[in-house]
Amino acid sequence: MRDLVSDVAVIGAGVVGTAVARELARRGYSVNIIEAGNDVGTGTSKANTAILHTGFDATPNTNESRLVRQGHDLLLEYATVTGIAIEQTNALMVAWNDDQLSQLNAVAEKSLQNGHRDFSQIDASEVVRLEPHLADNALGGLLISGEYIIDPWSVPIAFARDASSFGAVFRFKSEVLSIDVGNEVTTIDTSSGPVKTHFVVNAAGLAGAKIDEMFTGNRFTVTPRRGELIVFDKFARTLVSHIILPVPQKHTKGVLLTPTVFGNLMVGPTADDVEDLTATGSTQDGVARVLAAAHRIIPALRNEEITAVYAGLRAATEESDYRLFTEQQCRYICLGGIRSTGLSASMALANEACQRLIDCGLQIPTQSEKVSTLKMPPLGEMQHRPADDGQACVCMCERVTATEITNACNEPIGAINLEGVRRRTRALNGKCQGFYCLANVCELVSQANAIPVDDLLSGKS
Amino acid sequence: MSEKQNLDVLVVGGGPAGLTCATKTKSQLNASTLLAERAEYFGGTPQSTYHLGFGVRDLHRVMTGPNYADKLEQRARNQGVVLKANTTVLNWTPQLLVDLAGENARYEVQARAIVLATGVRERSRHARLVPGDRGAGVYTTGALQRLVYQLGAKVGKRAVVVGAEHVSFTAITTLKHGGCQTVALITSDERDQTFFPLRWFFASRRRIPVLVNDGIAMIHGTQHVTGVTLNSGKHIECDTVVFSGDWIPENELARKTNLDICAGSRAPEVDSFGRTRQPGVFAIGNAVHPAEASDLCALNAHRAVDAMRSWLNDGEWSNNAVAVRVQSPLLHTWPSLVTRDDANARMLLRVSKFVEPHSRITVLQAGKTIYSTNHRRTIVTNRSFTLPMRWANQVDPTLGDVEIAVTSSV
Repeated sequence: MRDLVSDVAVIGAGVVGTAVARELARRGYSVNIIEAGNDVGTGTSKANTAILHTGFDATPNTNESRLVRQGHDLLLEYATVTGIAIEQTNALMVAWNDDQLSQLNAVAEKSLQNGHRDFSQIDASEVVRLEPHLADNALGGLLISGEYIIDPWSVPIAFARDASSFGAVFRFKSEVLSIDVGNEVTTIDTSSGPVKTHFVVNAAGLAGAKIDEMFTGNRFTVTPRRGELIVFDKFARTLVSHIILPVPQKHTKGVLLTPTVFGNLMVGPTADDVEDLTATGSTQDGVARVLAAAHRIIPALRNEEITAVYAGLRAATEESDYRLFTEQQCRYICLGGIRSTGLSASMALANEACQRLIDCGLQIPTQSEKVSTLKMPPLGEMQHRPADDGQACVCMCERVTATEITNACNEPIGAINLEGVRRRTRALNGKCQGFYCLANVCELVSQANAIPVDDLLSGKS
Repeated sequence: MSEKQNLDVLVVGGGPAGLTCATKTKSQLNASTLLAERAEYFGGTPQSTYHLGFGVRDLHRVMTGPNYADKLEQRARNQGVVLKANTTVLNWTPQLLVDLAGENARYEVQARAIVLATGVRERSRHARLVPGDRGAGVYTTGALQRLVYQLGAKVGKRAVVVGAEHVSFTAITTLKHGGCQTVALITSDERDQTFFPLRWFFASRRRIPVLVNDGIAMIHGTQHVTGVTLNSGKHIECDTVVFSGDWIPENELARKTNLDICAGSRAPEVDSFGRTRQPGVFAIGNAVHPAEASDLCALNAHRAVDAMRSWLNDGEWSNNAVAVRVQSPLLHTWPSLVTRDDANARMLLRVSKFVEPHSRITVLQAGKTIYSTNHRRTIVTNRSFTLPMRWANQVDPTLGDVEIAVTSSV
C-alpha cells in the first residue's frame, strides 16, 4: 500500500479527519489517514463538552453556522443508526442579571437568522419549574429545542471503523515532517515514512496552521485555547435535565452545565489562551473557577463528589469562523480553526471537503457508494448494556464487562492502551478511577493486545 | 426478570463486615441470608492487603489480609449463607424490594432486612481536585496493591505518596514490591498520623521524609508523570504518585432510597447497631465509619446482629434516635444517631486537625451539657479516638440533636 498513490490523504484523525476519511472512502476513493497520535480522537476531540449543537447561537452567515446546522442533522441520524448514545435534552440559556436578560432578545434574533426557530423565551418562574435545582436568582431564560448530548468518543471511532471497512488506511504515530507537492503526486514525509497521494485534506486541528504553512506559507496561526472541565458523580445528574447555557457576553465567558450520556454532570469549559500545543493539563485556578461557577449555578453541587477533572485545547485562530481554504494548484483543502464545534459540524465538513476536492479536479469514482452495517457498543446510561442482563462487571462503577473490554481491543481501530479502553468502554472512567478495577482492566488489555502490563502502566503503548 | 425470591436478610457487600454479619444472622438467628458481592471474590479490601495484622480483635489471631478474608468467607459458607459473587444491586425500594443483576440473570428479592456493607474507597486524584497533566503513573493505594500483588506489575522507579496515615506508610512496602522507591510522603497536616514503630519500620529507617503542611499543587508529564510541584513551591522528580487515604464511603445504594447522609463522612446515618432511620435497613462496616481496621468492622457487625434479632422476631426498631452534630475540629462520628440503647457502645470520632493533649470533650443536648470529659492524649487526624457512650442514657429523644464539641486546652 505504501508505494501506491492514494486518491486523498487526510492529515489528522480527530472527529473531522475521520469524518472526511469515512465520507471519501464511502464514495469509493482510496484514502490514507495520517495521524501523529496513536489512536483516533486524541487531540481536541477527546476533551469537549459532548454536545450536538443546533448552531442557534453561531454568528450568522458564517461557515460555522452553515456547517453546524447541516452537521447536526447528519450526525443525529448517524448516531441513531449506529447506536451511538445520544439524548435530546434541549438547552436552557439562563439570564442571571438584567444585562443578560436584555441580551436574550439578541440571541433569539441570532437564532432566527441562523434558521433555528424552535425556541421560546421563558420567565423566571418557568425556569424554576423546568430546573428546580438552579440557584433561585435566575431572571429568565431562552429554551432552545433540538440540542442533544452525545457520546463524543464513539463518534470518531465509528467514523474510523466505517472508513477502515471501506478500505481507508490509517497510519498512526506518523507526524508530518514535510510536504512536497509535485505535478500530479504530493509526497508527505512522515515520521513513519513517506505517503504519496494526489490530494490532501488538512484536518490536523491544533497542528492545522503548521500543515497549512507547508503548502501556502504563513496564512493563519492557531492559538490553543484551554478549556477545563469538571465531571460530577452520577447523583449530580439528577440535578439538571437541560444543558444549562450562559448568556454570551462581550467580556465574560460563562461556563455551561450539561448532563452526559454516561449519566454524569459536566461543568465547564474555561477559555484561556495558552502558548503550548501540549498544555492539556488542568490548573489550580481553572479548576477553582469552574467549581465556583458550578456551585453558584447549582448550590446543591457542593454536596456532590467529583469524578474527573480534565482539560482540552481548542484550535482557535485569529478569526472566529472556520478557516476553510481550497488550493486547486496544489490539490489541497484546509479545514482549519474548527474551534469547538467540530463534533457537531464533522459530517457536514466531510461533505464540504468532498465537494471542494471535486471542484479541485478529484474524479468522481465509478464504483457505487459503499454501505456500512456498523453498530457501536451501547455505552449510554439509557441504553441497554450487557451488565443489565447480569453479566459480571470488571469496572463496577461504570458497569463494564470483560467481554466489552476485550472487544474494544480486538475490533477494528481497537484500543491499544488504557486511554483507548476508557474512551471505548467507559471502564476506569467512573468515580473510583481505577481503585477497584485498574489491575483487572490492565490484565484484559494486556492479554488482548499482547502488551506487557508494565508498558500499559508506563504509558509507553 | 424471573420469579421473586423471599428471604430474611440481604447483605450487600462481602467484606469483613458483610461476611461477619451474614455468618451471624445465619448461625445465631437462623435467618435465610443472601450476601451479594459485586466483585468476583469475597473478602473485600483485605483480599488485596498482604501485610500482617488482620483478625486480631475478632478472630484473636494475627493473619495476612487474604488469609483473613478467606477465613471469613469460609465461615460464612460453612454456616450456609448463600454467597453470590459478581452480583450488583441495581435498585431497591424502601419496602425492601431489591433488583439484582448477576450470574447472567436479573432477579428480584423481597427481603425483611437489608444490610449495607458496601465499604469504602480512597478518593482519586480527581476527586481531590489535584490539577495538572494526566500522564500515566497516578494511583490510589487500592489500585496499587492490586497491580503489584495481583499482577506482579512494576509501577515505576520513584514515587511520591500523598498522605501520611497508616495506609500511606504501608504503600511504601507495596511500592517496593513493585520495584519502586518512595522519595517522600506528603501530608497537609502538621504531623504524620501513624504510630512511631510503623513510621520507623516503613519510612525512617529508609530515610524517607514526611513533608508536612504541604500538598501537590501540580502533577507534570503528559505521557507519564515526570514530577510534582508542591504548594510550598518545592519540585520533586518522580514517575509515580500514590494517593492514599481520604476515604469516601460507597454510599450509592444508601442515597438511592434517600437515607439520611452524614455531612461529615458522607455515610448513611446509623446508630451503633447499624440501624438507619428506615426500618429494616442497616448499614455497617466502613460504609459507615470511613475507614477503620477490618477487625473493628467485623466486631461492629456483631452489634447489628443483636438489633437484627429484635427486628426479625418482634419488628422492633428504634424510632426515637436523635442525630449527632459536631463542631470543628470534629469531622464526623460513628454512630451518627443515638438512642439510650447505645450506652454500651464506644463512639468513634475524627478531627480535621491535630488537637493537643488535655482537650475537653463535651456532649450537649438542647444547650445543656450531659457529659464532659478531659481527653488526655493528642487527637490525631485521620485516626479515630473513642468516647464511651455511657452518656447515651441521658439522651432525651424529645429534645433533638446531640452536639459534641472538642475544645483545646490551649
